[in-house]
Amino acid sequence: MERMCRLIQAMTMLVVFLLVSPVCIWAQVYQKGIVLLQNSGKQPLTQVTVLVSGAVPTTSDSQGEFTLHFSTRKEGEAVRTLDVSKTGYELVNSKEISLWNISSSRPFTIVMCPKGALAESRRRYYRLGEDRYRVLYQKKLKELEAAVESNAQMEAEYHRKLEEANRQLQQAMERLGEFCDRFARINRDMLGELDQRALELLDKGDVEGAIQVYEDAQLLQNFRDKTQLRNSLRKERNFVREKIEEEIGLLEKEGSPSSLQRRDSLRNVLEQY
Amino acid sequence: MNIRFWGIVCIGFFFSLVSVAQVNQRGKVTLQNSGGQPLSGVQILASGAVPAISDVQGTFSLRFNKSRAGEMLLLDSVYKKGYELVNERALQQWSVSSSRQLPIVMCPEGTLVAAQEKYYEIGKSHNMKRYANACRELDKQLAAKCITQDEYNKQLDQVSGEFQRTMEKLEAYAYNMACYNRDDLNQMSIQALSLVEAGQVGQALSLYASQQLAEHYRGLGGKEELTVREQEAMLASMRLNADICLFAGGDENIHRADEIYQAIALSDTTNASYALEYATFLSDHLVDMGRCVEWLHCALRHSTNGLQRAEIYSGLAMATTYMDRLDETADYLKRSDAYYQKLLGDSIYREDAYFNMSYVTYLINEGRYWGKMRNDKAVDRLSLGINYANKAIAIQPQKYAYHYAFYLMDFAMHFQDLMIRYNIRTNEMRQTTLDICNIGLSCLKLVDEKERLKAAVIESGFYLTMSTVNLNCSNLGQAILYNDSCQATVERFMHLNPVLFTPIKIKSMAMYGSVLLSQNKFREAFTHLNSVYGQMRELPYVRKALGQILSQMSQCVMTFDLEKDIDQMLAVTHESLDFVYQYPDVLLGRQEMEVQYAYLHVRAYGKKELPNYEQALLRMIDFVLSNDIRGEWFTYEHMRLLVAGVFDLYNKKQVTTLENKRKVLIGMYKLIERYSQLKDSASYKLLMQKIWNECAD
Repeated sequence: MERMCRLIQAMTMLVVFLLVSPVCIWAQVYQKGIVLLQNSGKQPLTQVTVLVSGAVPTTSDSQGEFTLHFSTRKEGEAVRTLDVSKTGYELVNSKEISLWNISSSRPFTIVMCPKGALAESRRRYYRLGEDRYRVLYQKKLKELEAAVESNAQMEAEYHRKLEEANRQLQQAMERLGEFCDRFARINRDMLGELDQRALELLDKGDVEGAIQVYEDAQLLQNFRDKTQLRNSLRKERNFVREKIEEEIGLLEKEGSPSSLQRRDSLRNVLEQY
Repeated sequence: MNIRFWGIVCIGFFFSLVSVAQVNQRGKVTLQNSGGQPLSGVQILASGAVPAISDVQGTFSLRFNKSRAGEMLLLDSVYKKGYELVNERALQQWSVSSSRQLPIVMCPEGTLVAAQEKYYEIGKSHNMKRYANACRELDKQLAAKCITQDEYNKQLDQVSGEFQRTMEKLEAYAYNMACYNRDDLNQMSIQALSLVEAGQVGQALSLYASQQLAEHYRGLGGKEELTVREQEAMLASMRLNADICLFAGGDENIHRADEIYQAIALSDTTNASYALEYATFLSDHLVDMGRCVEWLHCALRHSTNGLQRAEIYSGLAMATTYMDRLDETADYLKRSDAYYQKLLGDSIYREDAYFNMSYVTYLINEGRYWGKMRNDKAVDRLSLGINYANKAIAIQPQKYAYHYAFYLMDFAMHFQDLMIRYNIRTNEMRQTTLDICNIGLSCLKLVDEKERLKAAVIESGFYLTMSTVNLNCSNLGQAILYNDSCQATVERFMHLNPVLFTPIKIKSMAMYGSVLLSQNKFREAFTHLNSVYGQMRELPYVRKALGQILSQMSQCVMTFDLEKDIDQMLAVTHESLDFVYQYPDVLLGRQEMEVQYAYLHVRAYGKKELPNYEQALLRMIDFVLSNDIRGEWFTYEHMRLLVAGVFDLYNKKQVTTLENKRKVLIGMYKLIERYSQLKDSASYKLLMQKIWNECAD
């Protein structure tokens, strides 16, 4: 009987060994993902080829989903994307994709749009920005000139302000392309209600209106209030922490087993939070 | 979170901001358990700070010249006769800050020891009582046979052991109790402390227990986490809001974007990524390097990632170079390089395109620093940078095509600067610059359509640089060819963004003027330049090109007929000199020299009185001495005219002060060493005679 037990034990070990070892050698990481069409109400896109270094090339299925099998990579490592393609379409969220890290719990999202849509949308924003800057600049020049004529400011002051206005215009025009690209790549489906409303107005050319949306929602003020709340919570917590430390000191001084036990549980609380 | 941060890249800033790095740590000395009474006359010594003494209000200020906010405070001594320091433990964990007040608590000498003894006695008697009770209890149990002798012995050992351990530490506990400052404590703690003093430790403990501190603490922690999550959810909208504001332009919108990024950074000052984001915004959008440096320091304090730290130090180096705080730059560069060297040892980093580009950013920052120091180490570092840029683009061609070209443009400009402005390794630089431009041009073909405007700006820049370089080695045909390419590119994109392309167009037109000049077609050049000048003098954002054209026009008019064209000559040279004085440092030294030379020339031959004559002469001598070290830039004719001008000035007794006379004398002696032919000229001999006579007086 005893011998029998030993044998069974040995066999289990063998089985366990057999089960475990292949997993060790070919430890695979799976990364799930989905391809969506931009501004479509989250419609999936099929037949998109995803080429990533270190993984078997794959294409998205009818639900737009795909799975990447990494054989030599580990969870949390950065992923280098070589190509995401489908004829007639182009990649939208290239920046996010460049920040991918392998994660078995969080799927990758790829956003694509019909070829040319990005360029068209960029052009629209570009015209919008350019017209606006021209108007702003001219307004500013008029203001400055009016101020000089009414002798409200010195010649030198005028030149300084003019210089500043020029720098701003130059800089705004230099950055315009970048902003247009950023706006063109936003996927409306992923935005909150506030951002959607702001972008809708922006698309119509109502730049001031878009900014006003955020003003009306008091986004900045809300955020600041939260910071304040957070700081006051932290301050109060530090205060309570001090009190707990006082209590710990007293408990130590008291020294009875129940006191020491309570001391340890208090220390635990301090460490956890 | 976001380590993929693009270093900080900026080129072509013309503004200067200066702020001094200095931290003031304010503080206050109070007397323990006195109701917050201030204590004056306390001497405070901290390493790195000027010693301070507390005033009548107990306040003092430690001024650190080298320490930065956030560093540990090292207190060497806190002293007042008859007093001792109470809160030493708290002060050991203090980090230097310009906003938080340093609280120092003192008490009359001997108070602490007395209090410690008092608490020791209380603790001792309390614990002895407890021990005696425990022993009595055990005895009782043994007597009633509730426990066996074995169990009794074991429990007695345990109780004794605990008693002993508490008694051992009692001294330290008692000292801690003695150091509490009642003025800092709330009602509950004061009450508890009084109970302890009365020997009722148990009651003090139940007072604490009744407050349910742990539950409260957990609750607060939970609420805080919830707020943090809510704020994180708002971040995307905040950033979009800031983007729209920047897109909209105008002062108040830019200010709003500033507020938004600042609010994000302030929401958690221990988050390095937030601080970094704000610092990048400050440098890229507001060109506010002073504040940028502050936030970079903030990011540095909380950044643990090696690459991120390397990039922060690199950014600090860039910002301090820009502000001319070069001592600091050297230090930052050293630190940044140390991090990069460590990372370069790791093959994962070596083979990563982003990392390579990040290192290139660093090398450009270092090159910029050496350039400012006029050290030819700049060439080596920048050349090394090209190697790493090559590597990055080999790994990911499309992604980095634009950045690569952008950097190459930066390199080409640096090399051109080194060659023309600083005269460093001229021949080597010439060829390298041309090579770089060719590589850059072929690389631009890979650039994505969304960056085509930016790419076009760089493309025209490359052509212009190649044209300049060729002109500098008298390769006229090539210079014209490249200049034409530049103009073609500009024409193609002009309608899309005139603000961006007009300055380039004008530079290119000025370049054409230079070509004509080098062929000695002065009349033709003047007509061309004058028409360009007429077109652009109303345009606001082309100052540098404007100066360039004025300098070339000055060169042209010098060749004109002094009888017929004198009015035009006077007008042009006068306007040019005014420009030079009004906007110093816009023009290259060489161009500035041409303007002054033309001014003198017209003055000397036109026999006209002009203002600023003495000033122009002195500046010119000074300039020739400090720049044209090998006597290569200026001809004998230039120098002869200079001498004649000075002589003329002396004749009319217009060199007013003795100091200026000395300057001229010393200058002339040095000039002779470089332009030895001058010795034989008649005006030189006369001049020297004259100066000697006058200085002898």
